[in-house]
Amino acid sequence: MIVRRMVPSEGAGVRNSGELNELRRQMQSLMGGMEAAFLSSSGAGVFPEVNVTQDENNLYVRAELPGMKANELQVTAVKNRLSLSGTRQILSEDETVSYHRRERAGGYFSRSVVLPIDFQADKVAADYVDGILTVTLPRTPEAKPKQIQVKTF
Amino acid sequence: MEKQLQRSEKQEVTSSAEQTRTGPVFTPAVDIFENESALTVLADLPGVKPKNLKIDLRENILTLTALVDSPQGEKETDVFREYECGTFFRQFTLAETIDQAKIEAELHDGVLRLQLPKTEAARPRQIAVKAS
Repeated sequence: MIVRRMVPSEGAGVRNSGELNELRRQMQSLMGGMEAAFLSSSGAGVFPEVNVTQDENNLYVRAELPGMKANELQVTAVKNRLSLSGTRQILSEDETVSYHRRERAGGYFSRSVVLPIDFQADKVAADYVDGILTVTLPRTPEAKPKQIQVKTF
Repeated sequence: MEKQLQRSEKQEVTSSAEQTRTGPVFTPAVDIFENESALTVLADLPGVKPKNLKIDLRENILTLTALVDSPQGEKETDVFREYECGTFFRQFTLAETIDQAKIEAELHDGVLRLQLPKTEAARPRQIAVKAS
């Protein structure tokens, strides 16, 4: 929101603009916070939850998917979109058991994530260790950070 | 028709015990069932390695504590984050008497399977009714 004062009011001097700057900064941090909250909830309702990290060579997408087999997970990459799908099976125990708690859920899932950085879709690798799926997406050469030499004269 | 998995937020707890490790503490999802001879606990513990899992049974209280080492490399920075990693902690009071020497625990692909065999005394018995 931008409020522009058309007619400078009496006494609107340097001190006031300092206050305005402070207000603007507070508004921005408030808006930034809302944006972050919105971003973090963008995957709401979609299983699995993912964390995306990066370093200078790769992007990494991780999801907690305990109790699966590697061949039950499908990972596909097209352009800048990564899709994760599969079926988590909770094997039923033999019928003589009686349950006290049944919290672990099974079923199918499908999720795609559009990544903000370009990657080489043909070089994507996926690992499944200790119930965590890690997908490594190498950045395209154009998307790698470059050190720029600052020249002096 | 198989049902679709719904996102369920990791259950964060404020543990009653003082933590020696900083970071969030989560309650793992469990299945608990029993038959005549044993009680079985299945717990989802993604990211937990066997060496970081502690199972403690004393005075009929079963305690699971699992530390999770961050899978992220040191130079990785967040792009966006939907879940947190932390310690898993959960306690159960067991009604049955457990044969402690025969407890077996296996951890595969982030799922713990804990078998707690009942003591002979705790197993149900069929009592033959004598007719005089």
